[in-house]
Amino acid sequence: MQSVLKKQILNRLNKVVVRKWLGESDGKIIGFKIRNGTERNFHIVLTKNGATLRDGEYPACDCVIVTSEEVLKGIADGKVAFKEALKTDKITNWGNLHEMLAFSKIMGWK
Amino acid sequence: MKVWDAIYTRRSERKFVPGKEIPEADMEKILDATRYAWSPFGAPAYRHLLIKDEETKTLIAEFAKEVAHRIFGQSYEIFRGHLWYLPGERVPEIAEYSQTGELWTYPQDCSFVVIPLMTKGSFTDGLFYGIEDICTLSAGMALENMWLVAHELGWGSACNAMPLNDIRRREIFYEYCGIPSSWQSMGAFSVGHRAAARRASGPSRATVEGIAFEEMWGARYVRRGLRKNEESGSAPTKIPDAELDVVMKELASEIYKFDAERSVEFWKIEKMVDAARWAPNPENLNHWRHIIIRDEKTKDFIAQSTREGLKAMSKSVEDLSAHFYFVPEEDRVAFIEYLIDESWKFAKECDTIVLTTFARQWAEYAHSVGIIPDRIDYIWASATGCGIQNMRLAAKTLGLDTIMNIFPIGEMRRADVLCTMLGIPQTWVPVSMLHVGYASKDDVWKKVQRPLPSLDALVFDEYWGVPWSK
Repeated sequence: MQSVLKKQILNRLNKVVVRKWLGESDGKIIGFKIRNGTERNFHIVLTKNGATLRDGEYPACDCVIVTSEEVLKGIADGKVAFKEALKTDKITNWGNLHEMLAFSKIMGWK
Repeated sequence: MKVWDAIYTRRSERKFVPGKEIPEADMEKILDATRYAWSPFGAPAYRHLLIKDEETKTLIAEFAKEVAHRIFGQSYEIFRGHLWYLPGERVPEIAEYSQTGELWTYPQDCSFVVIPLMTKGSFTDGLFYGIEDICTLSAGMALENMWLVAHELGWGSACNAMPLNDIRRREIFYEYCGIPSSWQSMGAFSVGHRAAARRASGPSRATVEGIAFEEMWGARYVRRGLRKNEESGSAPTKIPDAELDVVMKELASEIYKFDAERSVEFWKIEKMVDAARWAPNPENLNHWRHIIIRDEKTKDFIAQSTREGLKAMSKSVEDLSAHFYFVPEEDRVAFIEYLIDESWKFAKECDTIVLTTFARQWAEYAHSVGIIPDRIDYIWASATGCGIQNMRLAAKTLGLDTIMNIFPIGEMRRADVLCTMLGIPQTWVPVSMLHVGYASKDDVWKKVQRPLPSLDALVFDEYWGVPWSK
């Protein structure tokens, strides 16, 4: 289940849009902290060379999306509204909210 | 609450439900957290004035509103620049209630206010001069402890310097509460029942690349994950976490020696710097820069500077004996000899040194144009202290140990040489030197620990000198 979700996220990252978002920065790192009783972590590294998805918890992310697998899957499938999940604490943000919002926009999350 | 949740989800919350009290037990826990902060020479350089009186809270709120209006009201163009992270359409609304000063009246609605005060270095009996900033840093560490515990307990809290950063209003307040002029107030820390739902996020912070350098000023530290050819596998599956109150208390124990053979994983240092970013930050100006030092030559220079500082400090065993009253008498001379002759080696036996600087002049307005007479640089130094405390909490959570070293930076001639060597501009002040590593198993003096200060010695009740009691 999780690997399908990861692929879905990676496929949505349009190179042109990502490049524009990165601007002059060295890149961005978006963390995912999936809490379902136990905790699993992965992160996406975005540089001008492209996006890579890596397992593990990166220590210094631009933002970390803390949520459950169910909510993340719902967002990725368009069944759960991202902003609503944020407002109702189904998603917690660690880090810069403006980066998380920009990332959600690129992903097409509503 | 776990350490990472506490650090990353703490917010400034500035709307309280008027008239609702926080239970006494929780207030005590919040105040108690100040006992575990680091202080130069172990003598707490701070005191706290606890305010519950409605009239005093109203006075603080009025002062805050007046001063905020004078500072922020000066220029919409400047103020909006500070809100760079917000969508453009939201800026006017936020700017309006900040610029009228209305936002800053929240102390009148909170349950209690704590006024943190620091001594400007007067507790070091002439051993050092120029450590005023370091004392402020220490008071900032105590403030961060309080803030994190308030958050852990589920209360809203916020701090603002406005009520007391104008010398004229400060004078009135000092007379009102009997505060001696040798003590510098840092602002007003308010705690209360939240009037609104917790905000999803606080203001954005600069990236690690924006605030950290590698070995030298100006050599940007780029996160390892963004570098070419870096092994992504270096990031752990899950970063260790621990209970906040446990880690906070553990930090009160000092170590004297590192294991020189054991190196620290890079991601742990990155995590420490990242934790520092999420400290409270006046107007979100990111007025701090960290230099991550691993170069052996630089570490050796710092070690020699530390040795020189220790020698200069220790004119005699008698001089130092009073500072180390807690060491059993039969061990005291040996302990002091160790401090002077051997302890400086920690500075090169550590794995990494994080040298932190802050900008004394960082706001575009305020005191420089006569709105706020007197200096307000203590605001930046104390907020930097909050960041250092986050860094130390992070280190301990990751199984590391830290030693705060003030010798190379606390004396202006040695600090000057260090700044020249590392290329630190004169507008930036080195205020913290945190040595990081794994504690040595041969640290024989770890058994000697300074007793914690008692709460009634640190906290005064409504009026200076009246000890607060449960």
